[in-house]
Amino acid sequence: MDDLISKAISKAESKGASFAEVRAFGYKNENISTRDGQIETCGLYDDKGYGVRVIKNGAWGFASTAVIEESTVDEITSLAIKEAEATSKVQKNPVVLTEEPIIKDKYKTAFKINPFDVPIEEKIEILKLSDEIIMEKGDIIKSRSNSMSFYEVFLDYGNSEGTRITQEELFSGASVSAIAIAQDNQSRNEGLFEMRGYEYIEKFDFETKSDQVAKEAVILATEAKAPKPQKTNFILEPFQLGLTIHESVGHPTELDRVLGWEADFAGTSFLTLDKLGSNYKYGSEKVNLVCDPTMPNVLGHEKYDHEGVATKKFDVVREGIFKGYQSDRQTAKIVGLEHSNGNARIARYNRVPLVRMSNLYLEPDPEGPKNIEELIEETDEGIYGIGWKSHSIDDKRTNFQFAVQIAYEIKNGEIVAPLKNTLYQAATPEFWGGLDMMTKEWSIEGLGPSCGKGAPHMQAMWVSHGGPHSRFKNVDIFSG
Amino acid sequence: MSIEQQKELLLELSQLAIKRVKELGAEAYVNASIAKQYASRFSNSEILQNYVDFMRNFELTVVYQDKQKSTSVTNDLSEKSILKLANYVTKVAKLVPPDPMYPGILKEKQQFSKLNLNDPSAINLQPDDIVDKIESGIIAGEAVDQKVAGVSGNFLLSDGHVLFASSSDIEVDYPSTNISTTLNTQALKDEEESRSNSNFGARFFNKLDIEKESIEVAERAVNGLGAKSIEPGDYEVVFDHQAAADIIRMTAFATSSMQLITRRSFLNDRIGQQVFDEDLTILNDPHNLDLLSAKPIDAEGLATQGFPVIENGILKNYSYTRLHAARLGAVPKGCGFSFFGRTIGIPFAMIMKPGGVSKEDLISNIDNGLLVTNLHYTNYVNPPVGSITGMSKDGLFIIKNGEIVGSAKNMRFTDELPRFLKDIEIGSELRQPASMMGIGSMVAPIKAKNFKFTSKTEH
Repeated sequence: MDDLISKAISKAESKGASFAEVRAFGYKNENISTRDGQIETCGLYDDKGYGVRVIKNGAWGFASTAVIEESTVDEITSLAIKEAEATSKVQKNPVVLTEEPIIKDKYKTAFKINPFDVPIEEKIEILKLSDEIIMEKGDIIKSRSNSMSFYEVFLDYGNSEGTRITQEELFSGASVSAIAIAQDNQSRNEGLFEMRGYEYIEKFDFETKSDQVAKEAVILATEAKAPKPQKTNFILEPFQLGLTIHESVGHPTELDRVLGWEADFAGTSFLTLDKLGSNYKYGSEKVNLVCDPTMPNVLGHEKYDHEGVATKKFDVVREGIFKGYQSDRQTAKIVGLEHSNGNARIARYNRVPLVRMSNLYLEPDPEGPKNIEELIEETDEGIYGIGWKSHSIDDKRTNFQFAVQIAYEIKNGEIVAPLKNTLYQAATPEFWGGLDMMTKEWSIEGLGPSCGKGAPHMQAMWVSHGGPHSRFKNVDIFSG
Repeated sequence: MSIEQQKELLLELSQLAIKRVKELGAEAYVNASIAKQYASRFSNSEILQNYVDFMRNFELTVVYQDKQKSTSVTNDLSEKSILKLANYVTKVAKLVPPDPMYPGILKEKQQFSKLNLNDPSAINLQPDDIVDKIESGIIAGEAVDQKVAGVSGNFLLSDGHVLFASSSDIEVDYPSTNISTTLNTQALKDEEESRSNSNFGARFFNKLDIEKESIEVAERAVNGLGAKSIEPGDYEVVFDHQAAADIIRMTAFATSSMQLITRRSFLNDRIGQQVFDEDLTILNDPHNLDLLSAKPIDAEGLATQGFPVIENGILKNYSYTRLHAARLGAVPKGCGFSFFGRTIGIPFAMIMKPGGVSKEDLISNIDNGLLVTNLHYTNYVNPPVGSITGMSKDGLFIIKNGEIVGSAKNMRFTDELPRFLKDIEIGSELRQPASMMGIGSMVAPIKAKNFKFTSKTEH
């Protein structure tokens, strides 16, 4: 690969490129799923190739191919140059990048068991047992599904500044779902990923999750009531908290959105440039939101981003004050930052890098209640929401409305009743302004390759979020 | 690579894979495509990035003893890779427990329509041609008004070859060209921003009228300045084409056999019932060459066919995969569609029956209402009752006494499809917003008597 990268960079420079980078990227994905006891999918998705991105005449050009052979380098590099020359005809501001340290490194994420070495029969057997556990809950369960998914991702990166990186990631995920129909038609599911090998399947614990999901689907369909419209204390568990962080903090702090580059599809951001360094109040003093892709084993973990920049831990919000955007080399330079924050990522070899989330979470409160049980005890009245059901947010990321799969009504420090069809609607700064209590215990949850961004080719990225069980004051709750 | 070379490569590799699978005692079908793609991302009236890609996709499904099935995909089109794929998928198909309801590999002969789905001149396009087209759109938009601050958007042209082949001697291939474009124009006045958005497409590069679209989008952005904050509540609304396309797509998902299997559709068990207003008629029309999602064959090898999805408000047909049809005792009609790694049934080429009045006439009959041009982040809230939520985006206009009198700040809606589509009127002009995820539709504006906005924003 080194030879191919060197050849492409030399070719680009000989054709007048002021900067060139070569990114070979690919992944192998094994996905096995069942629906109602029958195999629904079982197979591999194999996608790989390389792309050459150049700056010529101050403009970007990019070309890619699935054929990772030196014989293709001349054609692909020449096409990238041609694209840059064309781009420069309709460009006002030349591309300038932040200066970054030159890195030469090889990195692999840690795992114990390679899932691709585990026989498919063993995986199918686990899914069958999970299905049987759900089915045991009786005829009220009308549909069942579950899955395992494994990804092996590689990045070979080199640029004309001398950086050379090889990075390999391996991550695993699982899901289980049940639909129950009685007085109502309700679903309950759990699906999580971590940057681990097949050992994650044991950690996911299909047996316990299948039982829990099925029981709660039955509760939802038989005894849960819809909440009355109210403003109340609302407690979120780490996964749904993570989704709320993703939509209301992650996306609006992406610098390319702020600059208007995603206006046509993903949208822009309420977090305009004047808010950086202005002590803009994002939430209550308890809000500490941190981006940390260096954290091992979480899904958004990467040592290097896809521009060859070392990732780092940085504050997005500290004590309720907005501190910094997620950025890549170009967007950071545009707003006068010295360095990229290392958020450039691609989902496929034939896509250009975008500013993407990695691992963004809410820090726990070391002075808070120990766990969810103690947090509920501290709550006179409120609702505890669990699991993602539906989400929607406006293009500037201020008005959001999410539904949780199951909720519980809290009175006098105790759970008193299950709730279904529970929605919460809020405006971003007001919602985070209402954060008043968090537990000491916390976790980071992997959302899987499900964050869609970018046009004309949407890129589905794997990210992780989370934090402690967290209580928000005066949240609008209703049913739907 | 010429069209003939693309075709030859796909044919050779599919024959190689099928031959190998047969040697191993199983049957197989191949969905493969190869395309050159020109793409561009532009923002604030300058091009951010142009790129070109040679897309390859080879999906092999192996069926063993009629009841065991496995599918894998590669983009490595070397012979070695395809043989490895054939060996692997056959091995997995033999391991997978049999599904008693799976109907086995398709053996019935199909009558495929010959559709001309490509632009023969596209193969000669150069990056400069794409840039010139985009630049003409930017210039046209900026010329509309001094308040136009920038034109953003994206462009994608995909030109290549598609093939389906099976061990039961079904073989179809065709060249295909598809162009999709989005424009998002920003207007500024003092500190205030207004944006307008449009998705559109074409099959022929020289028929993509980006200038006309850009002028319309820029005018709408300028007209959006001065937006007032209005209160959420029930409004009479006109959904313009793009908003209407979103609503029709959400409705189409409820007719998918996947939703019937999971029992999560509000349209479950409602065939033959008057679910919507009698003005609503939607056909699945995959042979209509005006539709960018037209095609002769579905993902499972069935010939596509036209059928009514909704006729005069009565639900007429669901869309099935072969497996789901077998499970539910129905006949599939060529609606198998690859969707995030699964095959689902969906009407992917929809056309709405237009009404008799123009959009202006629809508006002129409203005393107090809103024109909704674009929706954003629309999702189901509670599928069994058909409730959806989402935001208006880039163009919400106030209608008073039959006229547009200004713009409004965006609002969130949360409403039920079978409720607000119960009392509607359809406009006369059909347009085709670019397909989303390959699901295309040609739609007319929809006037809904009552639509629920539930909260508001400050922009």
